[in-house]
Amino acid sequence: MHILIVDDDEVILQLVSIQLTQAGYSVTQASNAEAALALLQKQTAHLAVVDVMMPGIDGYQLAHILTANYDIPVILLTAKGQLQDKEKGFQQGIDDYIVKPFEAKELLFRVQAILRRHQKSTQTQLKLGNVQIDTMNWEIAIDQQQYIWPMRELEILAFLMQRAGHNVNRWKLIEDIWGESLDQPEYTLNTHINRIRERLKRTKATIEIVTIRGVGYRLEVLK
Amino acid sequence: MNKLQHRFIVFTSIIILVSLAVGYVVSNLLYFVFVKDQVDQRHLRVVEQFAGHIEDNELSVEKAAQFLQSMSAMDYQIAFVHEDGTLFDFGLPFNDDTLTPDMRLLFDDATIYHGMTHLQSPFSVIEHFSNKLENTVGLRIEVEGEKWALFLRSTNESMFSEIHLAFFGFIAAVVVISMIGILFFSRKLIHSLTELTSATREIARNNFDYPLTIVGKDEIGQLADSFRMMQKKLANTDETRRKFINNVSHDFQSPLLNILGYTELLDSEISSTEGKQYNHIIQTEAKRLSNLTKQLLVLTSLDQGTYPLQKQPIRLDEQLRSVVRSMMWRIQEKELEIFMNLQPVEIAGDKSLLLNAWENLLSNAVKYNKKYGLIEITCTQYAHAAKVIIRDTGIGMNEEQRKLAFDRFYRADHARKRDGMGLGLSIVREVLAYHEATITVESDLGAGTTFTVVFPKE
Repeated sequence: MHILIVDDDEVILQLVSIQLTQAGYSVTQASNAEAALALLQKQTAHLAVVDVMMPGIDGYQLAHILTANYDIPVILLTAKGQLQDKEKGFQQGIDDYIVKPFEAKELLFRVQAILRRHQKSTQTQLKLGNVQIDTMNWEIAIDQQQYIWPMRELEILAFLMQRAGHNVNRWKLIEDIWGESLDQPEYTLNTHINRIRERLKRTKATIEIVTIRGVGYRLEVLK
Repeated sequence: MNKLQHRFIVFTSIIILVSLAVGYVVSNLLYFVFVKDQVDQRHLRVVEQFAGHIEDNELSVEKAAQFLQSMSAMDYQIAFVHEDGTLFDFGLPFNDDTLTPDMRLLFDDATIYHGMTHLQSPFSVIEHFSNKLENTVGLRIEVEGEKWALFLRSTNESMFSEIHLAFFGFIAAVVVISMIGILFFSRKLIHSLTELTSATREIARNNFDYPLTIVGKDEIGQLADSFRMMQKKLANTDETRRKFINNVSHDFQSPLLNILGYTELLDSEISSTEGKQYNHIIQTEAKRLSNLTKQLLVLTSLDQGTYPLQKQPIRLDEQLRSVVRSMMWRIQEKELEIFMNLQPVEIAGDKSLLLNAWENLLSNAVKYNKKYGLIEITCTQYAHAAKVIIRDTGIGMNEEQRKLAFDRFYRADHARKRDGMGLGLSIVREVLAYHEATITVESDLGAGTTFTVVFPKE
């Protein structure tokens, strides 16, 4: 995954680069919009982190160029924390914004979220029984009521929902959700499944996760 | 004499002069319309009696003169004129005893002369008192077979009776006493104003204790009362401001000192575990400072009332949803479940301020929640109100903490020292007060807290 960072503040540019590099992304730095556009000729990017206040072409204009011409998702860095900035940004087609000062964790969470969203862009709305999942916003609607679930649980349910009525192998599920670096994979999955079941029951969902011995799980509509 | 007093005197004098002038005109009119004819008739009757007495008794000129002489003692001025111009006057002599052509008509065909009704203008009541032969009532009279004329008027002394003098005294007294009264009153008024001026100056010098001695139920008294109330409020505000600055500087100092201390430690020989630990503390403290400045900025602009309140239609449901989204990573870190029952609700408000309020309430709900906890956000439209409820399953507060929750710099958990500054909820309350909304809090220690916000619908 390659990320382009554009900011005229050297300190922030450095900080964001280090944070993203440590998280395992490769990074290109640019100190202004012109340099960023020049760099894009040599190497494309999966995501751009752009500061609003820049001399020359400002962050809004750059975000507009990146989303419209290059189809690169943009996270806008705004210093003022002002609502007008955010709204103006969304009008330019940005995917997300972060108000400075921000924590590394917050930036990483948003970067991950946007990359994930762009990778799995095939289906963002899933529906089964009285349950509807919006993977774009991590929202789930059950019986007309809206909830936000912990991401892993929602991803598990979405994965099962895409394969509703079919048996899903537990190892395939673990690999898709956590990758391979998990200490106690089966225990962790069990806890998550139990919590999902508890949530579905409490919120009167008309779907249930059925355990298939020796294989994994299957999502069914209650009769 | 100062300016205001000077003005009072001038105005009062003007008022007296004007009323005198108006009174003069009015009395002239009254005289012209009513009194003039009565006086004329009264004199006519007297002169007729005198003439009747002379003619009936066929008195000689000498006798008639004797008779008139004795009558003049009754405060009459009498002129006895022969056709050829010979004139005898009795009583007080006239200043001007020329005969006008009108008077001479008595020797032709006229029998009565009305000198007193001849006054030309209604503004000449003073002519009534002019000591002229012209200003008389006259009658033709035949003495010793010759044509004579008899003219008569009352002396001015008889007209200025004691009662008139009393009236003059009355008017003079009114003038003098009102002048003195105005002087006295204006001095008192000016004294109050001077006192208020000095009190105002003291307030400009930040002294809110200047004692005002003015009392009373009149406007000045009311002004003084309001002034005292203002002094009290200002003194209060001043006190809170002092406390606030004290608190703020303390809250700025302690993280700064911590940061300084730990960066010094980082300079010394330490293990990498220790280094990480110190670094973590430095980060936390820096975060506190950052939060504090952010909150202070909002709070001070709210305090000064300089915050430009920009009311526009806001969809509360959308705003709450967007705040939740912006906090997603914190929510996910704690693996919270959020329940949102958001009806479309629109109110008029200031977008950024309200956003700040929701951010504060929701970040509290996240910060003080347990892992795998719940947050319930509902917003509902009623006929006369809109209601937002934010309920968490966090650590909760006890009764005392709950009561003080909205106080500035009150922190429920001093010992635990999360990155809260005790400003968040006080900002929330002020922002909501700006929108005439109310906020109430219910809490169970260890079980969770519920904030209820009600916007009245105008």
